[in-house]
Amino acid sequence: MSQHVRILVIEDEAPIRRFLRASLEAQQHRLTEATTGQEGLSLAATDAPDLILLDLGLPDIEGLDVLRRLREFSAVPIIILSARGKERDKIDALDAGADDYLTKPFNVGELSARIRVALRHAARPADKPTLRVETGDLVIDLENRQVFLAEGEVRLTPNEYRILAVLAKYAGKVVTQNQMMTEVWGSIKPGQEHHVRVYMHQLRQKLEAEPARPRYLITEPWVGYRLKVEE
Amino acid sequence: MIPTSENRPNPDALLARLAGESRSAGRGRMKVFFGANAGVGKTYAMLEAAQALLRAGRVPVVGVVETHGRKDTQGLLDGLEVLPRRTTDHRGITLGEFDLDGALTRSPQVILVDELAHTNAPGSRHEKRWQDVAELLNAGIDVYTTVNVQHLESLNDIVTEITGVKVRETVPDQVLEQADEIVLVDLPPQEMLQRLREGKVYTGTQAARAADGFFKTGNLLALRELALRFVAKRVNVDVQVYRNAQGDRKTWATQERLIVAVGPSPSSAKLVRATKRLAASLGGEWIALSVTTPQSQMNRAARERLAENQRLAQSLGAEIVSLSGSDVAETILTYARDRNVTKIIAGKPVLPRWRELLRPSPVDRLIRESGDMDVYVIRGEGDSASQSRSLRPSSASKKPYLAALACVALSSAVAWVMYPFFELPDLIMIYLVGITTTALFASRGATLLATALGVMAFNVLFVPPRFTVDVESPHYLLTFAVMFVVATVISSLTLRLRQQVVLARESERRTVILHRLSRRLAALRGTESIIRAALDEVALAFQTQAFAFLPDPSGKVVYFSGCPAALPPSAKENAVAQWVYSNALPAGAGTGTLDSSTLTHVPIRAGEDSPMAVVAVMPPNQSTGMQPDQMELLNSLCAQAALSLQVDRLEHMRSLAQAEAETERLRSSVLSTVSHDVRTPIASIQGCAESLLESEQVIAPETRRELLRTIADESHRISGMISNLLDMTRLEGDGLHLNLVPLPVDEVIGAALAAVEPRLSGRAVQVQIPSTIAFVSADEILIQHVLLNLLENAIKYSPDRSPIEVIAREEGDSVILEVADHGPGLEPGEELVIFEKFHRGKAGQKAGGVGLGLAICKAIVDAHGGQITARNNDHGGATFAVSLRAADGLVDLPREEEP
Repeated sequence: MSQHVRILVIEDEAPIRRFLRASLEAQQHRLTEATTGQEGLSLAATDAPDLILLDLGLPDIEGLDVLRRLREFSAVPIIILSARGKERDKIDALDAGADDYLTKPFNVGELSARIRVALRHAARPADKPTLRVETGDLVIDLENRQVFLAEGEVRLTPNEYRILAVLAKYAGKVVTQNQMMTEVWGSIKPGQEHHVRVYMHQLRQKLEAEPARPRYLITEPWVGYRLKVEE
Repeated sequence: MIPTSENRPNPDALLARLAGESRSAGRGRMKVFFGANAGVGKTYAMLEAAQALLRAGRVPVVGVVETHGRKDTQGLLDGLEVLPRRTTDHRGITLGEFDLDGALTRSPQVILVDELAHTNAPGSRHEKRWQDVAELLNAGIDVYTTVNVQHLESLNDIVTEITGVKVRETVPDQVLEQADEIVLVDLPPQEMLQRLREGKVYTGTQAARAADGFFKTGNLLALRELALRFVAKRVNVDVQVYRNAQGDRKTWATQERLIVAVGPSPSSAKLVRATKRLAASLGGEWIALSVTTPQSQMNRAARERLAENQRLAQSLGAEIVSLSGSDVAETILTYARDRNVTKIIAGKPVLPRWRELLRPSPVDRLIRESGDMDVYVIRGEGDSASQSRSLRPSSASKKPYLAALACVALSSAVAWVMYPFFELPDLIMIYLVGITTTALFASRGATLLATALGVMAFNVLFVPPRFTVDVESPHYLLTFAVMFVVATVISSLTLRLRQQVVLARESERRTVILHRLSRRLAALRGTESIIRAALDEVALAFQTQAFAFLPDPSGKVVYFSGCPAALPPSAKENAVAQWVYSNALPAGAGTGTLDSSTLTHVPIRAGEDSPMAVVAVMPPNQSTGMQPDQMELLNSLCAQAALSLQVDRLEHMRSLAQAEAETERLRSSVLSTVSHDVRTPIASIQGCAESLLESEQVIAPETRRELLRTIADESHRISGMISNLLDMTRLEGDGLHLNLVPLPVDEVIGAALAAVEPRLSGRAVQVQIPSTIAFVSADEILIQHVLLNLLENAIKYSPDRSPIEVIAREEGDSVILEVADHGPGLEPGEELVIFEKFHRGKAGQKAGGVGLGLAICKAIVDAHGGQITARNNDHGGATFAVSLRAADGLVDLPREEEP
């Protein structure tokens, strides 16, 4: 990974900031800290960080509002930090433009992985779409619309393929239900989330050796799905 | 709203009036001419009073009087000084208002100010005329004024509900309560309507419109009743003020208590008045008692007369009691003894002496059996119907008499055929059979007729000389007498037997109905189901429609929408129900109170508590209303429902208390968990961290790793405990809101497995899910939580590296998810208690849980309508099984072709 990635942490709790600083600086990242939403917004504007870690529970401005205002002027990758049991907030944040989320308490390994994925997606030029995703035995060839496992090509229905292609496009990142439906069908219709669920079930049956302990197709309960990329 | 207790004076008003009287030297006196509605003649009465003052040498001045162009009223203004009105311009209209300043300057002894409730034109000193009047009174001027009952603030609601007309001009009750004198100007509705038709109230088109809208007989009746009630209450207050003023000379609590028997006959009114006078002279209180017997079939007119007599008694200050019983005298005496009555007042019987020989009148029995009570017998007013008589069946039907004729004719025919072969005494037997047969099904009168006719026919047809009334030998007269007496005695016995059979049958039917209701209620819980069952039974018992009204928290009754009846009753019935609720007394059709309503309303009330509901019944026979025995049955049914409601209420309170105790237990456990269970891991974290800080350099790398590992593990433990506590408080706090969706089983299990993955540390997890298994219908987050808890338990309570099995299978229309471990398994008898809150098995205590995990699982699974069970495996270890409903079929996917 490129060195000296500048990360802005917007978090009001000092112990969390301290622990983030310790572990992220150990990985050669450079940290800027903001303790309020206001401060975070101005630092994001003046410092132009490479990535932002945003806590949803800030003392002054609602985390979601901070996120929306950030998105007004910046496309920087944003990873949300939120407390357990606030699934609604996570979905809202993801739908409002956050790149990923982590639930407190989280472990450092997970955090680093998410940061890497987010940075990778951000580094990719917008006019050069992903053509091929490889993880473990799974190969998704988006150019030729083909999917392979170690045993050979896997035949998918058009809808199954479309869903897998969306996951591949955002490989490693979480895709919310709404995002999935918009990408696949161009609109959100009530009841369609069940269709997504069924297609995901079928995809796991076809692609996973053990569908109940998936290696690639991860379900994030209530939030959405993620194509796990092995590094 | 109606004042809650009709007869109790408002103590504040009493005080105010006492105070008012004491300082009356400086203050003017207020005399109010009070009426039920416009047009009863209040202004007329006021002007008459003014004319009388004039004649007595005082000088009344007319402040403002609205004659509405009525000529009679106009005429009474002659000779009276009329103050000029103050004119104001309001939006181009010239209004003539009462000139308060003019009146104060003129300062007459007495001033007439019509229509107390009037709202003054904008720009006047006071908004309301009653405020002008208050100022006049303060200035020491006596005021005569008029007001209608609908303007009374406290009655405003009910007037609106009865008449459908919103009255905006109101007068606070205390203004009237502080009046020194109230004159009721009363006019029966029929006369009122007559006056209206003759144009004496309104003129021209106004009259027609008024007759269509407000002035309907029903409205007028109801308003009149309200007015009468108000004044009756006021009379009571007057009496008490008077008594209080008398000081110790007479105490209000009295030794004398009188009872008067009231029936529907007009002479009862005389009895009532006489009793009032007697009670007043003795300083006693009195009760007007009506007794109805099962045989007394009162028609509507009789019931109305009875209600009128009762109302009269009430207006004179009596307590009104209605009882039913089979024996009038017995019922009166029992009640009188219960209430420590000292004197009984009854009407003088006017029956001929011979009738009393056959059947003593209730009055005779009263006198004979009254013991130490005095009995006063008072003459009726030239009315032949006495108290006892009026309670007797009035069988208007001619049928029994025709039957009597037929029986006698038949007997004669049989006797005619037998005559050549038998002796005369044998023929008497035939007649006796005929008369007794009549008694079996006909009324008393008809039987008497049959007896007389039988004797006559025997005489004419068979006694020599035959076919004449004459008799050959005088000893036949004795034969006739004996025949008459025997026939009368037999038929009287038969009649009584018949009545007893009817009574027995009636009481049996009643017992059956009551028994059925009580059996049904025993199984029911919840106010609504109890009320519904009671309504069902009431409707069934009377073959009619039944309704209910339930009070809302503010004490207003609301129609109970769960009634089996198709249509809700009118708003008027709602007002009646409100009255019944507030006064805890029956009202409506046939009860003598608010009689103009279609339904009969009865409160459901346990003991002296305020009613829990009001039941309204459509009388099965619209013309006669509810019969006394039906009323009694209705009351019994309501009493039974009241009992059930009370039991239900108590049970509800008990379960609330139980829930509260549970919450309390939860709270204290949270406290002890925080203080003890969480402190243990915190202590080790603290210890590890501090040793690392202090002796970082000297600690060997393996030890350091060990310490760090402990810190990480213990933090995880605390985090888990707190999550469980939070979950439990959340589950208990706002209940569960499930978002049920069809979920693939592999996804549910997969998500939970992914979450425990870091703690599996290389354990083998065997997952068996048939690929064709149905989806489950569940809440995604909550069900994952259940599985997560079960998996964590399996990890916690089984040796490291022992395998864990997760099995899913379909059973009927359920999907069963099982988590099995290879640990020590459950203690015997632990299969159920393990799901209780704060239960910790021996193993659990060691593992340091809070004892909430499985309780949470159970709460969640219960909310799903599923089941969670625990059992020991054959090969050792425990299995926890969750059974959930399978989703109905698979989600239909849009059709798509395979590529």
